[in-house]
Amino acid sequence: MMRVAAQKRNGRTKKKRSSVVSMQSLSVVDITNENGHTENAVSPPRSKIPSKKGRQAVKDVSNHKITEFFPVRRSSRKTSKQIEEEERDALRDAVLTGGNEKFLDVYKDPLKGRGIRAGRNFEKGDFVVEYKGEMLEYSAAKTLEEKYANDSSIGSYMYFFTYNNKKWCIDATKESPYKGRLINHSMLRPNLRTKVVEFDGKHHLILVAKRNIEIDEELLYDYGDRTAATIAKNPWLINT
Amino acid sequence: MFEAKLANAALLKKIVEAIKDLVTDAPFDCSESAMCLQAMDSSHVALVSLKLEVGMFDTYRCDRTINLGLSLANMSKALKCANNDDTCMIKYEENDGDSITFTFADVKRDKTQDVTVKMMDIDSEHLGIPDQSYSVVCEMPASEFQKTCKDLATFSDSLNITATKAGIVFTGKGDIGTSVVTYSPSSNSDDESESVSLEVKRSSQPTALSDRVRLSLCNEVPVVVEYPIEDNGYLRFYLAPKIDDEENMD
Repeated sequence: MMRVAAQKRNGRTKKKRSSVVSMQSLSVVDITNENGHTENAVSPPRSKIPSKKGRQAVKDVSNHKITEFFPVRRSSRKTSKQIEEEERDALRDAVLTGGNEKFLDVYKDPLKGRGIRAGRNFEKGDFVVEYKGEMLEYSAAKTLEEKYANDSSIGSYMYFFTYNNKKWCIDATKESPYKGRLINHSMLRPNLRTKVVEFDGKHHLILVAKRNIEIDEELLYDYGDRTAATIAKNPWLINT
Repeated sequence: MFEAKLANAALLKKIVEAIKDLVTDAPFDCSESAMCLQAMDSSHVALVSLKLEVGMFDTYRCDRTINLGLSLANMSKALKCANNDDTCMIKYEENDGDSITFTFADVKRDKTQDVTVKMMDIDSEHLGIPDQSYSVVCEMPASEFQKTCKDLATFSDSLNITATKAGIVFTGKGDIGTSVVTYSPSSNSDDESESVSLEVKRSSQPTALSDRVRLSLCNEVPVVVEYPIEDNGYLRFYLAPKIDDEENMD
C-alpha cells in the first residue's frame, strides 16, 4: 500500500512524497516496537481490495481509554458531611445491635447493690450503652411511678428526660439483660453523660463517655434528679 | 467563600464553548493559587485539563479549597448573558446553598447583571497525570491546526500524526480517500520519529482562546494538545492514542 501510494503520488509535489517516506519510516519504528512482525504488519495494506481492507484496518486499531494511561486518584479524603454520616451510621449500628453490652461487667457492691464496670477502655465521646427500657410519655410514666412507689421491693429504674420540648420517660423497672439500667449514680465524679439520639423516627437514650475511661472503672452518671423530696429520701443523689 | 473576577467575560465564554461539547459536567477545583478543572469525555478517550492561575484574575479570593460542580451547558447559558467586554465575577458562598453567582458588569454603562446557576453534585474521578517527557514537542498556529483537523475529519474519524526530523505529517485515512498534511519544521522539533493515532475530537476547537497550540507526542502515551491562556493558564486536551493491535492485523 505504501508503495502503491508512493507511486500514485510520484507525479505530485516533492513535499507530498517526503510525507509518504516519513510515514513508511514511522511504520517500521512502530512495528519493531511491537515484537518485530514487520512483514505481517506491513502486508495487509498491500491487499488488492484497498477500500475494504482499509476499513478493517481502522477497526483493528483498538480504542484506548485515557484511564489506561493516567491512574484514577483514589482519594481517601472525605467531605465532612460524609464523615458525619458514617459516624452516624456506626452509632446507629452500635445502639441498635447493643454490641457494647458484652463490654460491660456486672458486679456487686455491698452498699449500692449491683453496678457496672467497664470491660474495655472507652475514649471520651464514645458511645457506651443504651439505657434500654420502655419508652413512655410523661403522663403515663407518672401514673406508673405512683404505682411502683407503693411497692417497696421495686427499685427506681425510671429515667425522665426532655426531648424536642416533650417530656419522656424510660421505664427500665422490669428486669432485663440490658445493663444500662444497672449503672449507678454519681453527681460528683460521673464518667458518663446521657444523650438522646434519633434513628428512623425513634429516639433512644444513650450513655456516652464523658472522659476517657479505663478498663475496670465503675461506670457512673448523674441521674439528675434534684427535687427536694427525692433528695431527702435518697441523700446519695448529691453526696456521691 | 470563593470570589474571582475576570476582566473579560469573553475568556470564560471561550473556554466553556471550547469544552462543553466534549464534557458535560465540570468540577471546578478552586484553591488559593488557581482555579482548575479536570474532566473526561463520556467515552473516556479524552481528558480536559484547565488551569487558570490567580494572576489571570483581577481579584481572587478563596478561603479554602472547594469544588464547584457545574453543568457546562448551564454555565454556557449564563455566560451568553454577558457582553464580551463585561467583567465577570464568579462568586460562591457557603451560606447561599448550592448555587454560584456570575456577576457581569459593564463598567462604561454602569450596568451589572447577576446570573445564578445551580450547582451539581459531580462524582468525578480525578486522574493523576504522570510526568512524561515527550519525544516531540511542536508549536503551530492554532488556526492552522484547526483547519488541518477539519480537513482530515472529512475523510476519517481518526487522525494519525507522524513527526520526524523532516517534519510533521497529519494523515486522515478513510473509505473515501486520504488526506495528508505535511509541515516542515521551522525551528524546533529535532527529535526522533513518533507516530500517534487518535480520534479527531473537538480538540481543535479552542482556536479563539489562543494563537498558538502546542502538541506533545510520544509513542503509546496520550497526546497533549495545549492552548496557553494568556501567561497564567492553559487549556489542555489529553487524547488517548489508538494503538495497533497486532493479533487482529493478521
